[in-house]
Amino acid sequence: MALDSRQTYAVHSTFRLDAPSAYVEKKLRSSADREDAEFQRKKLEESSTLYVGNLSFYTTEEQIMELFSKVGEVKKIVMGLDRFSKTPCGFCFVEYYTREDALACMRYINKSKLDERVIKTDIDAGFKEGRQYGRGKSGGQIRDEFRMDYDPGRGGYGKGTDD
Amino acid sequence: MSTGDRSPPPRDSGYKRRRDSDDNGDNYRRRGNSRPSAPSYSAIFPRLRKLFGGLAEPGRFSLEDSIEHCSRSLAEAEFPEKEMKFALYTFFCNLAIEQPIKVFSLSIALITANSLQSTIGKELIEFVTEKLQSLINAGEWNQVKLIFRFLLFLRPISSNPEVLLDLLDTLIDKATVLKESSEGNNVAHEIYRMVMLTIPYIAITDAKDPFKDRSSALLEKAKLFGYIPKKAIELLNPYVDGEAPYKVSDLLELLMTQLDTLQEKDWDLPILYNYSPIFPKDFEKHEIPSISLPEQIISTDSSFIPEMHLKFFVNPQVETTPPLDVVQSTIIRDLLTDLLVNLNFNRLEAARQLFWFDAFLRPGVFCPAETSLEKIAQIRNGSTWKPEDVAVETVLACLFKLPKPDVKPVYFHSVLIEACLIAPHAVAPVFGRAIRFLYANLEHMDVQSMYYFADWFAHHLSNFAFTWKWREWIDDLSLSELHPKYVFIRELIGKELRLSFPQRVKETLPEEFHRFVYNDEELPQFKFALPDEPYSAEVRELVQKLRERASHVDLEIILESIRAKAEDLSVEDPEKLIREIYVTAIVHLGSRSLSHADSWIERGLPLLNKLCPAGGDAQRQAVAAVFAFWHEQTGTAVQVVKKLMNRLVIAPQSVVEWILIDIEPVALTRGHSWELLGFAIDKAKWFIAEAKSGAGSSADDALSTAIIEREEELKHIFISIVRELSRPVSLSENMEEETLRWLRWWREGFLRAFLRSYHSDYKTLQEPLKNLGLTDEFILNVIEQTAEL
Repeated sequence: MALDSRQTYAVHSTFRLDAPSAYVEKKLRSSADREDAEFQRKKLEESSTLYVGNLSFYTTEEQIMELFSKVGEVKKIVMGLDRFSKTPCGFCFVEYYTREDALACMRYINKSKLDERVIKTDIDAGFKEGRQYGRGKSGGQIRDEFRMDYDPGRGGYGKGTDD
Repeated sequence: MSTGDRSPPPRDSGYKRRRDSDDNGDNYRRRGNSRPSAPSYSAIFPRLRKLFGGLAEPGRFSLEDSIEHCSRSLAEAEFPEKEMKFALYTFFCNLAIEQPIKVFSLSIALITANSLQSTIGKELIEFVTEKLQSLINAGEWNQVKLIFRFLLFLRPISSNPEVLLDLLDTLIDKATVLKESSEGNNVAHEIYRMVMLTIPYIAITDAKDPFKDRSSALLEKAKLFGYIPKKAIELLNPYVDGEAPYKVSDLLELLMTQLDTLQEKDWDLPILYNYSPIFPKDFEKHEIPSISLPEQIISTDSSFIPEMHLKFFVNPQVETTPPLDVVQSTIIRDLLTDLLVNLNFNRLEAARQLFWFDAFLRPGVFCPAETSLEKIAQIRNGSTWKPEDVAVETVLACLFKLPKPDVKPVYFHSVLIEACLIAPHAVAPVFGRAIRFLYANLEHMDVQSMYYFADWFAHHLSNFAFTWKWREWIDDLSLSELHPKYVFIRELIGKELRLSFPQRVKETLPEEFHRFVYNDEELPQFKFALPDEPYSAEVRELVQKLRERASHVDLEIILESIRAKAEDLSVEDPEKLIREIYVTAIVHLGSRSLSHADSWIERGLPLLNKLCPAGGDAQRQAVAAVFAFWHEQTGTAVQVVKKLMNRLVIAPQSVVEWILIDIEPVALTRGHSWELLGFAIDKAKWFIAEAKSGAGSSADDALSTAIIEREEELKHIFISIVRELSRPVSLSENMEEETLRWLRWWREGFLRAFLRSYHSDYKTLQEPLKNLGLTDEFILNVIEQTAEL
């Protein structure tokens, strides 16, 4: 315990930008399945994959490649697609060859602009088949169903406002 | 832990730090399972960390109050366990390393805390000394410099401060001896650098300090070290042909003359805040434990690469940054560089600190932030040094550092982007001047530096709506297409297009520049399948069969029929034709996106491998076919060729040969040549590493053969580069004198840049390179200089 506290407290003079986001932390902490949460956490600690969000629907793989290659060679990009129309729906997974590059991406690219939108990256436990599709009712991402604003890069008004 | 159990913000911690939001600030505590239970436990550390982290930052409270409050809080704190207190001391050391600009106020706060609670001082002196010792043992000489500085500023509470100077004496003596041996030469220079950058701080603290005499003695000793800049510094100059817009100097050589000048001024260096009004009168002193040098002195850096002092603001009317003849230029640059590099894990904080660093130094050293150039020109009494200029110049100096920056270049891009977001009005005009300065000197700029410039500027513009005053450069569009300025504009727009798309980029450009924007309204044509082409029917069938996932046998039947037809038409090289058709078919099918490209390459792999055997021209023709298809969007061509390399269809060597032998010499001015050449070398190195990691401990013959083969390939690449780029360019018909001049310029630039970047990889090649029978003096010179790096 004593040693732990020393390690957990005195890491750096300020916080690091390459830690998983509060969203991931919260998800892990609130998970009912403790064992799975531990497993996921372990995977996060080794992962070299990033989830990338808030992309415009029109941003292409080539553009993503161009920006993300600035921190290191990209192994693979998996575009997030609308479940029904199979068109891009504003997110993707980027996998690097090394974890160091993925962390560098968190430090240097996260929350900067691509295609003139502030994109968000997060360390991801790894891509699995099926995760490339939006999980919302409309087929896209859930966030686009609750949105009230008009976002021309993401298909106009939120899908939920039609009801 | 919810933010609710966090103690309320301390009574008067003042300045709320915008980005110190809860979801980030608490991350350390959430990591692992050591969820603290006692409330006091969780409250004290974050509170003190926050207080000291924001120490002396400009805000609601004066520097004096801030220091006083911090020291009192520390002295009054009751730590539930000793370990936590030591964790706090570690935090102080990290502050000294990562935010060195704060070390002066931090030391005063700790000295004051010692006057209230002397155990703190005792423990701290011991703790910091222990840290210093471990860094010396580990050979982290830059960190030794920073922690030593921390201890130096804590010296008022030590009873034996002279041990610090004794240590410097020992270090410089040791370095002078080590320098003579080949294995010690590197570490000797690291130590020399550490001592030299420490000397100004010895005298800086107090006017009446007896240490001043010792600074002079130390400087004499440092002279005995006999530092001579390596010949290789010519290679580290971002300007070529001896045409730099200012004298680019070796940092340590420069520092020596600056220190001489300082000594003449009796070491009077008023740049730190005057802390004497709050300096405690009465306090206990503690002994610094002895510090020893390990038997084997090491360095974590494998070679000592000299640093150059780079400038980006050269204004003959008024000096907005410290001139090179005063030591301030080096001290401030060094402070800010350490801040920038060591804080690279948090670019927001780095940018924030960088743009108010002057608040941590003595008022009046700089002119007020955001003073315009016109106002500065009117300043009669007082400083004309502009803090924003000094900050931006430091970031650019880090970015343009050769042979490579200390951190990935994209980090420096991101810091500058953040800076522009934090203080657009203060920073944007400063950027404008730096960019114009760089642009004006492009024709004397190192090729690598030019690409650093284009990469940065395109990335920056992509974050700010591509706004730039392009009209300023319109006249340069009439320059030769080989002129560095013309190439720069074209490549810059090319990079913008890769980050964005043609329509958008076009909107931001005057019409004169539209020639650089390709048309993306239709996909590139698959020329072999066009109706008028001789093999149109067969090619269409080939594509159809590929889509149907036909067997290789079926595909090969079609290719055979093409071959037969080609022979009938007496085509010179039917093999080449088939290869082109098949590679282009795959690229065409995968043209929708990079994922498509990759999966089509995977599907077509067996035949691709068969049609593109290693050696000979086959793979080079494949690269040519990709570029022929994507000739407008060479960025995509580059990505596809990379994928073909990763899938082992094309060997790095073939890509290198395609660039250097197959394409016309002017293609060297294309960004894709630069990019692919670097990528191919990196890939070849990566294959070696991969083969080695596969070999592991087993002494498998096949694996060791694989390693040798991979190493041979890398050697071949370097030899090709030198051989091909050193081939004399001769004036051919219709070629203008100017064209010839620029062709030479680009070749020499490539050679210089690649040999410099990969100097450690071709060290063993000095002999084979000499055997090439090179006569060109420029190349021989470069090879000789890189050997020194």
